[in-house]
Amino acid sequence: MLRVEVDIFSGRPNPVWIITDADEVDELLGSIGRSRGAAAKPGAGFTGLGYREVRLSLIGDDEPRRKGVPGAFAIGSTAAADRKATREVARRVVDGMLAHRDVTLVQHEITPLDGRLQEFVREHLDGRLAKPYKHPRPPKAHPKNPLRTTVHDAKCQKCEYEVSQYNPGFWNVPAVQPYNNCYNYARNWRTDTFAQPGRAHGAQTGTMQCPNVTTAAMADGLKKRCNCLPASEWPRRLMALVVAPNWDYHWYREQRGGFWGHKPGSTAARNVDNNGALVVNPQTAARGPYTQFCGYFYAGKSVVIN
Amino acid sequence: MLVELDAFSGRPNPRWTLAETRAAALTRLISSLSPATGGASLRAPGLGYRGFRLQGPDGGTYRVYRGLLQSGNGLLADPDRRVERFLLEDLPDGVRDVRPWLEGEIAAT
Repeated sequence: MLRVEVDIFSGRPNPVWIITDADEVDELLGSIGRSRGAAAKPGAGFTGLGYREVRLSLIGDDEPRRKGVPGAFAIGSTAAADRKATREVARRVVDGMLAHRDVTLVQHEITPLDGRLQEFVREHLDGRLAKPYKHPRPPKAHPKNPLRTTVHDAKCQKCEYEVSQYNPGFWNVPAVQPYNNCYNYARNWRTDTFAQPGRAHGAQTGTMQCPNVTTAAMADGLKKRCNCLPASEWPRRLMALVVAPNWDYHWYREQRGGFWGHKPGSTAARNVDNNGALVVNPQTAARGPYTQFCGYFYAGKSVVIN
Repeated sequence: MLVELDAFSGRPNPRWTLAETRAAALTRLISSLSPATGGASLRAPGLGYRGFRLQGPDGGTYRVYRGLLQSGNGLLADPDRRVERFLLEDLPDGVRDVRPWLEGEIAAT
């Protein structure tokens, strides 16, 4: 999935949306990779008041990467080598803004995605880059991702989910590690907000007990294990919740290879427990004060956290 | 001086500022510590109590965990855990209910 932010405002939140459709992300990144000169380093172009650039960033550590396309970059930027190409791809992304309103983000409370905003962005993007625009053809490519594998759930064979290649390097860098916690890691969504279960949907809890944290997380869209998710929810994660009663909660995510990854607070993402042993079962792993095991959950692509 | 209790995974770690007199007392306490010996290293587990982080007004940072205090490349010994016990006295309201558990962690060898 791809996070889009139009860097244009000063006081109110910038327009932000998430492209969840894998085909669309794949086609977009492919076209940027092919165009060479459309992408620029974020913040490298115009930095004054008004439209600045459109920032794109992958939100998970197992998103497919395109050769020549970094995990986070800017388009529609005056710093791009090819002004025409960068404007065209930025226009295309902005044209798709309204199709992505289904993923509700907290920024939308103050900056809702609507036709007026879209027109405002278009006008100012064109003003900054001033070149003709040609709408490209819709994407055709089928999604492929070598970093994910679909598996049948061992507990309930009728259900499927995806396991990802373990990729701690995505999280263990200064720009990411301090601002993302266990919930970010397990959901595989970098929000840079130290995401809390339920917060994106006004259902956050201060009671650190299994039922309360479970209810909060399910408000974000998590489903209890064996409540199968359809293929349209691809990629689907298997997460495990534990709590330190009255103290805190913690999440794990199953990885490809028969083990689990996790990220204790602002510390580094890892695949070992408190004894240094590979986490092959979060129920029996050494978990310090997180003594209560709450259960397993599926998180499909529609699960939004913040 | 800014203090962070590093012990949470899901919730943000609590942070607070020490009053000037308390900060001065803590600075004196740290100054009284001797270098650690015997290849000691400050390694905290992933889940649970991972110690305290301190940031002085001069920007200097410290990590304190289980009788050791790390400052830059230097490691000081605090075998009686006076620094951790000192910081326990200043826990903010929101986490005072976990003090008994923290006391157990700090008392553990």
